[in-house]
Amino acid sequence: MFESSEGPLDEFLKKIERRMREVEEAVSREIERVLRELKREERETKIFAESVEPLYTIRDLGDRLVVYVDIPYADTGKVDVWFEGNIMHVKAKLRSRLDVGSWSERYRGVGVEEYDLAITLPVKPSPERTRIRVKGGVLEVTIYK
Amino acid sequence: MSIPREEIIGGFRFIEYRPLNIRKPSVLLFALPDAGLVSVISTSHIVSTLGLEEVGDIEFPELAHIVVVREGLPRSPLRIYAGGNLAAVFTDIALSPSIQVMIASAVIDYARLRGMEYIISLSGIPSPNRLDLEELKTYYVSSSKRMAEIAERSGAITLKQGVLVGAYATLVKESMKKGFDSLLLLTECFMEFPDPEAAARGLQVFSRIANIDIDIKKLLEEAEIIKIKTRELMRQTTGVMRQMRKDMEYSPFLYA
Repeated sequence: MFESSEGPLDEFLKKIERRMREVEEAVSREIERVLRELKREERETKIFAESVEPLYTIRDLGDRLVVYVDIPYADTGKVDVWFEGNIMHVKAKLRSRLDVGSWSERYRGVGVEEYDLAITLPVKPSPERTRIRVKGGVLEVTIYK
Repeated sequence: MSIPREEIIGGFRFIEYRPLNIRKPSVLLFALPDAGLVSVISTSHIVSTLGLEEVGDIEFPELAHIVVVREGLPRSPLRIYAGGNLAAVFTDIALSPSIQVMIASAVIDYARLRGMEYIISLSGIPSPNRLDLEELKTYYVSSSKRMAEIAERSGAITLKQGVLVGAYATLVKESMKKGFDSLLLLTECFMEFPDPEAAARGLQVFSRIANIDIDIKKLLEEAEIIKIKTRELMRQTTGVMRQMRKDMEYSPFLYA
């Protein structure tokens, strides 16, 4: 009769198996996280609420980035732009609360009061090299690289 | 609901629930979401201010899962309106690039079969410095010399060179091949933001072409609210425009 004992090769193979399982689990967790994130973004953009995400676009003009944010009906005196690392935040109050229920009965009781946006920029902006203006309901933020 | 007329053109089923009864000279407007939603906003304004009636639907297998509900009735997202000497093929959902090309081609055949004189689309052309433009210009691209003369008389400027991407590019190109009169009006606009002001400017030119008085005062007064209401459609349209490389329209010139 042979005694069943595990040699160094068996242990090595088991180690690889364990590592493979860990990698597999990590990949699954990451995929789940991305899917959750996508679902979250979907919910955020489809629904009118007190705070809505405005439309925006970013142009790279070589020496600077220009971010345009569409903020129709915003009170131009109540537009805030600030930076945290390379994240640009925008908050803009509307001139008055917009009753979405008057457009669609299913939204009764819902009113839009402000725009709220957070964009991850490809560069870290410095406030002294940033220019901001609002014209015709569009916020323009120029960030010099 | 009675169906007086139904025909399949290029895979699309054109259904008229009521007779078109369009006076001459008959014009077909063709509008789908594009740069600045100019065509959707302007055509929607024409439909509401001139009281065009919804007379039909256009069905397509790939759009069968989307239904627009009107007064409790399910309708197709592609609709036909008519009134006076105007008819309009209109949709306010973002169509995929391949469907855009197919519907543009089918609409030309539909207009020809229904005895329409010409097709006009009131669209936009993205302008890189739109924010600082006070006076918006309207350019034109036409499928025939006749339409070019009509456009020039009405204050539109020839688009001397550039690139067009999307359904309207197919419309003018296919119209020329098929020998049908089509005119594309392109007003300077934001590409990714709804632009009711550009729509209003395009309507002024169209008003002279069709010799129809169109009041744009209300459109300009409600511009901000229209921009908020159409925000989600604009977001979806921007996604489609990215797929079809609409940014090529920013190119100011051709290389050869």
